[in-house]
Amino acid sequence: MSTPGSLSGVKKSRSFKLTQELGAVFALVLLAIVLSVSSPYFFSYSNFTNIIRQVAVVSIAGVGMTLVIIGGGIDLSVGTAISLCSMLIAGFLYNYHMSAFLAVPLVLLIGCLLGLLNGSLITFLHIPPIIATLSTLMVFRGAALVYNNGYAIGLIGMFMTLGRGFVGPFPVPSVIMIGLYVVAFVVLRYTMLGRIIFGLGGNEEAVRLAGISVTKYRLIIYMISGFTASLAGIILASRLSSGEPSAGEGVEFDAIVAAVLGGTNIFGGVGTVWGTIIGALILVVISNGLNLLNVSPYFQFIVRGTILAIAVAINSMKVFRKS
Amino acid sequence: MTKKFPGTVALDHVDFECRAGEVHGLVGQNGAGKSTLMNILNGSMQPESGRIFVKGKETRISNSHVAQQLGIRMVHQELKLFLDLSVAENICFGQQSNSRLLVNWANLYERGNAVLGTLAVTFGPRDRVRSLSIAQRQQVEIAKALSRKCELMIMDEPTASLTFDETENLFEVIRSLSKRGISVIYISHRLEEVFKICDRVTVLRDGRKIDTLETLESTEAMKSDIVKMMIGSHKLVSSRRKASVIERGDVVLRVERLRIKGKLDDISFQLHRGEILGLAGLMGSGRTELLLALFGALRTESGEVFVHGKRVDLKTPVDSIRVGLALMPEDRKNQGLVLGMSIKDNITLPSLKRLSRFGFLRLGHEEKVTNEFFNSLNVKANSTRQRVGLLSGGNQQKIVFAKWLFANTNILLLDEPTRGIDVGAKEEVFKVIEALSAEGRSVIFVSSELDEVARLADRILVLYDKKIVKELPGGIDVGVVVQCATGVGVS
Repeated sequence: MSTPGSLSGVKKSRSFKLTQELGAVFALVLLAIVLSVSSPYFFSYSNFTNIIRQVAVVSIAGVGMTLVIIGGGIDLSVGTAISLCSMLIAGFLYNYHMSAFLAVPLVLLIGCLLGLLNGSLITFLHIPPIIATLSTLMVFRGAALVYNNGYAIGLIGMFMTLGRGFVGPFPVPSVIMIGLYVVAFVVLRYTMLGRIIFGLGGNEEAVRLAGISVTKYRLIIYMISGFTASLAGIILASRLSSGEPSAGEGVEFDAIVAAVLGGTNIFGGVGTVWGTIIGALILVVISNGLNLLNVSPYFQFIVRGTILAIAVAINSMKVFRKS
Repeated sequence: MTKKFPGTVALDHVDFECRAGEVHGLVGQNGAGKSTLMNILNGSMQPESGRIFVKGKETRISNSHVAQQLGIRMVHQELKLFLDLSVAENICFGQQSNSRLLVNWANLYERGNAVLGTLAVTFGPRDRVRSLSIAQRQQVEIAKALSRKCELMIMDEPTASLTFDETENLFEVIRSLSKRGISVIYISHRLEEVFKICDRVTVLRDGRKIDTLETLESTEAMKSDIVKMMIGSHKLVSSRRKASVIERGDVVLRVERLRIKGKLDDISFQLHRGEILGLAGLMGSGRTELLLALFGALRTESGEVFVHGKRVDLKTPVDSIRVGLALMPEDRKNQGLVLGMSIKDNITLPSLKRLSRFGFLRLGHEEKVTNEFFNSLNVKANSTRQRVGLLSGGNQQKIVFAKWLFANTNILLLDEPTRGIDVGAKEEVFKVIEALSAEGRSVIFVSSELDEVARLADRILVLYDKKIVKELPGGIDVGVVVQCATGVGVS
C-alpha cells in the first residue's frame, strides 16, 4: 500500500532538488540583469575577470567546506588557515628564497596537516566540530600574526602568475578552480570516499556498523578542507602580491554561505559541489554590484549575514515540509 | 472520518467509538491507519472529512492544546521525557503551579508524590528520569497524563520494551485507570496482550475499519480471525520449518568463557553451519550485550572467540566483518540504515571496497548486483534509487538483510529483527532467515517475542541474569522458554 505514496514522494524530492539548484542559477541570472541595468560598469570584460578572480578564493575554499558539511561537520578555521598559508608561502619565497615549485607543494602539505589537526581534535578528543575548528581558527590567526610580527610580506616575480596570469582568455585562478571542481565532483559521484562522505553526514553510526573506519574518513575530510584552504591561501597571496596575516578573514563565512546557497544541507548528507560554485558567484556578484553602486562596505556585512540566514531558512523549510 | 496524504488515503471513512472506562484495543498492520487515527484524536492532524463527538457533543480538535483540555492524553511509544530533570518536574511540566515567578519546589515534589501514590511505583518524585528503567519512565509518562484532566488515555505500543513482569504491572495500572472511569485506547502488535487487557478490539486495514469485536471471552478461533482480518489476503506461513533442514553442519563459531563485568558472565556456546540459534532472555539478561561483544562493539574482559576454528580478536566492527560476522541492530533507523541514502547505496555500504577499483566505484556493476538482491527479496519500492527513509519498517529491514547478504556474511547476529514491523512483514522476515539458513549461513537470533524464538530457532539458549541458564531444542512449547527466561526453576 505504501507504493503509490512513496512513488509521488520520490518524484517530489527529485524535482525539489532541481528547483533548488535551478533556483540558485535563476537568482544569479536575475542579479546579473538587475546589475547590468543599474550600473554601466557591470557588464564588462574587466569586471568579469575581476569577479572571477574574487570568486576563485571563496569557491576553492568552498570545495573543502562543501565536503565537510556534507559529511556532517563544519570547518570554521578555513579563513585563518588561508591567512596562515598566505603568510607561509610568502615567507618561504621571500625569506628563504625557496623555489615556487618547492614552496607551493610544501604549503599545500602544511594545509593538509592543519586539516589533520582539526580532524584529530574532533575524532580523538571528541570535541564537537564547531568548537574544535573555532579553537583552531584562533590558533591559526595567531600563528599568521606571530610568523612575521603582524607585518605583511611583499612578493614579486613569477609566482604572481598564479593569481594574476591568464590561460588564453581565462584567469589562472579560475582554471585551477574549475579543475578542482571537476575532481571534487568525480570524488563525490564516482568514488568510495564520496559515498562514505554522504553516509557519514546521513548516519555516522550506520557507517561505523558497516565496518567502515569513521575516524579515518573524518580525518581525510578535514585534510581535504585544509588542502583547499591552503590552495586558496597561495592563490590569494599571489593575487595580492603579498602574504597578509588577515588575508583570509571571513572567507570561512563566505564558503559556508556558498555551500548552503547551493543546496548543501547544513546538517549533512545532501549537497553538490556545482551548487557551491553558483552560491559563491551569487555572493561575489552581490558584493561586486554593491561596490559598483557605491554602497558602503560596512553595509555589505549586513547583506551577507542576511543572505546566510535566508539560505538556511529556505533549506530548513524544505526539510520541515518534507517531514 | 477521512484523512488523505499525498498519494495515499491513510484513513478511509473510519468510524470509531470508545466508551467511558473501556479499554479499547486498536490493531492493524503498519500503515493500517492506527497512528493517523490517534493523531487526529490528539489534535496533531486534521481530517479532511468526518466528525468527532466527545461525550455526545460534536467537537473540533484543532490542535493538541484543545485535545488536552478535553482530557485526551497520549503515551507515546518513544517516551517524551526530560531525562535530566526529576520525576516531579516531568510530571508537572507545563502546569503553572502558581502565579509567582519562582518554582515552589516543595509543592512540586508534593504534587509529584500525590500522583505517583496512585500508581504503586518503586521510585520517588526526586529521582532523575535518566536513572530509571524504561518501564519506570513509562510510569512517569502515565503519571504525567494523570496529573491533569484525563478522560481518555491513548497508549501506543506501551509494552514494546517491557519485560513480562513489567507488562503485568502495566496491565494492573490500566485496569485501575479503567475502574476510575478513564477510557484507554491500547495500540499494540501483540495480540495476546490485546486479548488479555482489552474489552473490545477494533481492527484497521489499509485505512479502513474492518470490525470491532468484544473480547471478554476470547477463543483461539477469534484470535486467528483477527489475524486474518489484519493481514487480509496475505498468507501466513505455516509454523515450524521442516526437520530435514536441521542437520547440523560444522561448528562455525565457538565462544568460550566470555565475560564482561556486570554485563556477561561466563558465556560459552557453539554455532553450527546453517543453524538458527535463538537467544531467549528478558531485557537486561545480557542478550544484546552478547551480540554487541561478538560484533566488536563492546569490549570483553576475558574469554575467547573462534571463527571456523581460528581464534579471532574482535576489537572493532571492522574486525568482526572481516571474519564474516554482521550485526543487524535493534534500532534500524539509527544504527542500521542511512535513511537519506538510496536503497542501492545502503546495500553496498559495507562492501564498497569490493565494488571499487583504485577507489573508484564500478557504478554499472553496483546497479546490476543490487537490482538482483532487490528483486529476490521482494522489496516494495519502485527502484533501488529510492530513498530508504520512504520505505516501511518491514521493507527497511529487508534492505538491512540485503546489505549483509551482499557483504557475504556467514554469521548474522539479529537483534530483534521483527521489532515494530507488522505481521505480514514478520512472516517475510522469517522466510528470509530460513532461506539464509538453507544457504548454509548461520544466524543468532534475539527476540523478546519468545514465541518467535521458539518457532524459528533450531536450538534455543536461554539467558537469565547475564548467564546462559538453559539450552532447549527448537519448536518447544513457549511456556517452557518463558519459564526459563523468567528464572523459574533456575535460580
